[in-house]
Amino acid sequence: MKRLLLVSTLGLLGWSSVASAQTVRGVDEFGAYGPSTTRDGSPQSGAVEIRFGAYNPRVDSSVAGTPYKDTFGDKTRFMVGLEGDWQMLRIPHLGTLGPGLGWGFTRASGLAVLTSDPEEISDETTSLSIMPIYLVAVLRADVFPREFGIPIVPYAKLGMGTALWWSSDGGETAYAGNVKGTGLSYGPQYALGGMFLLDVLDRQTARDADVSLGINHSYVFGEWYGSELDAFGSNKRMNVGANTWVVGLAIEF
Amino acid sequence: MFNLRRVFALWAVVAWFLGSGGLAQAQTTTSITMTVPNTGVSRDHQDYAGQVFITQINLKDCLSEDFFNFTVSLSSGLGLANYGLEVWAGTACDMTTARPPSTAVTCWEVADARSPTYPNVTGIKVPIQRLLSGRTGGSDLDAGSNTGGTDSTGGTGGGTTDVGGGGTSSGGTSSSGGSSSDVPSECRATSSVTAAQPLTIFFMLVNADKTVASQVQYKVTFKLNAPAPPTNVQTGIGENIAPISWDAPTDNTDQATIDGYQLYCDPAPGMQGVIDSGIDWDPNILPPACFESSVLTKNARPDDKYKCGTATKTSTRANATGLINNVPYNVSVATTDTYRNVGVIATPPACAKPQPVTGFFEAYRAAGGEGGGGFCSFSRHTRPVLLFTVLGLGLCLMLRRRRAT
Repeated sequence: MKRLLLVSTLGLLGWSSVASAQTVRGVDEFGAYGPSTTRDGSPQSGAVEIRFGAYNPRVDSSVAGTPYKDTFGDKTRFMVGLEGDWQMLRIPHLGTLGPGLGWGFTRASGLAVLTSDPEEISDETTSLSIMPIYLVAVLRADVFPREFGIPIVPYAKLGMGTALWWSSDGGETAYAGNVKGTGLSYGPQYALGGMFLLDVLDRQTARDADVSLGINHSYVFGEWYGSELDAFGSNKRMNVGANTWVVGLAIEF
Repeated sequence: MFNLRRVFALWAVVAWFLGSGGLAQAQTTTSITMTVPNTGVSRDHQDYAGQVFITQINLKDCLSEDFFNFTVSLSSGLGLANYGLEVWAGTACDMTTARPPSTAVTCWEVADARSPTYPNVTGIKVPIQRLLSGRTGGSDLDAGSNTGGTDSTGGTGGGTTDVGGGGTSSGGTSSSGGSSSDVPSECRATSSVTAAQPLTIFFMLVNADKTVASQVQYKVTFKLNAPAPPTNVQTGIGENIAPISWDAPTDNTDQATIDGYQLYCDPAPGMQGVIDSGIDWDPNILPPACFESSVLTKNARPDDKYKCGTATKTSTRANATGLINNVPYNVSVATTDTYRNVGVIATPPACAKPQPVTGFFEAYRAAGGEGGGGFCSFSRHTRPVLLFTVLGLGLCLMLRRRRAT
């Protein structure tokens, strides 16, 4: 308990030092001085995210049984992804707004069961691969680091998502009768998250990255992410959406 | 009486003789350059032609009596009638001591001698079996030294004698040739070494006294033995497939030359395979056991019709495909190498009994799910109105923005 208190105190002290340091800024005959959470660097027009998170599609929510859980179990699966944003507008005293295009991939695999005895597992691999793609409006409220020296950027995303999915048995595309085990699902997509500005940890490197590479800021982020890829409530599409968390790295350039 | 005019005349005559002799000698040694142009080499029916180098020879090339077709270009036709064109293989064939009647030959003739023609000598046919005949039954002449090891595959057929010396047998694990007499002696590996061996073909303009006036060399490589088969072949249950697993050969030398694996099934894949096998089966009853295979036997290299799958060199599992449910299959695995040699199969074969299974998608559909049917499928019952509305609104916004600017 004491150790926890000590760590918390040190953390707060560190935080307060970062925050208070923002106040000692100015310009003298040598130019700008004092630490700055954000800098007037190269022009900023976009962001890129590398994303990683859990992904358990809600396939079973739209059917009578639990085929997904029965086949793949309830072990958490993971998704990797990329997102690129165009920071089209800068809203004064708030942040940036613009469209973002994202891509991800996840795959679940397990062993098929014997048709004659569903309790017995075969040696044939069966899998479901999902490739979500989405187009969202992204609002990043970078007013906090820019105007208050707080290195946190809350953000929100809202838009439409779609996902290509395909199922395979024994390495070949799966069929149920003559229905091919591939499809496309779509629906709304949304996310809420926060980014921690990494520039405050090493300002010199951050400055160098801006000068040499044009990277304005770098972040780690965490977000809660939801997608309802069920064609707006229809069971004609496999619901491969998920409510889940995502973490990752982001840069603004 | 000293007569300066006679001396000059004699000198002129001697000089003429010497000069003419010198000119002839120059013609035989330097004036004709021979080349084998890139377009001057073809193979009649090389195994995996286009996927392997034209210079590569594997066991199947030898067994199928493939041959090279060469065209040799000559830079000059001057004095060509004085020479014969001979084609030999081996080591230092341009030396007369390397060829008969020398007692220490290191070369053998691989094509019939002919009269050269200017500017090209076309249609020089070099049969693979003839090309390999000189080194079969003895040490690898072209390597200049014994490659070590006796032929582990037997050497009982064809009356050839392995004189490798100094090495040891690999214990019969080498897959080349086999001990069966159906492999001609020319096509048998002469050592247990699995690496490719070089061989040089000499195209030579030969004088009447068998000295070489001009020559060009063409290098090929041959590899007649694939690595040893994998071990511990296991089968599993799948629908119309049999998941197979195995352990890679543990010999490091063998592992280095492995390029993949070939799966074999008996009966052969497909319904025709079941019919041809003559086994009595009921599609609704799981067979109790596999029959004893007469195809997948020790040291066998089965016919291509029994192929039922492949795997990459780093794999230790793959699916045997094209199988019929509830048919008992003997399944085995052989290695393949970079020369596309297929080794002997692992024995004894494993037994697989494919039967219907329920995968995820079938389970999903059985639970009432209606998704699927392709990426581009649209059902009449879905509600694409919302999607089209959103897309329409987006389009309107774009147009409005463009008009404003």
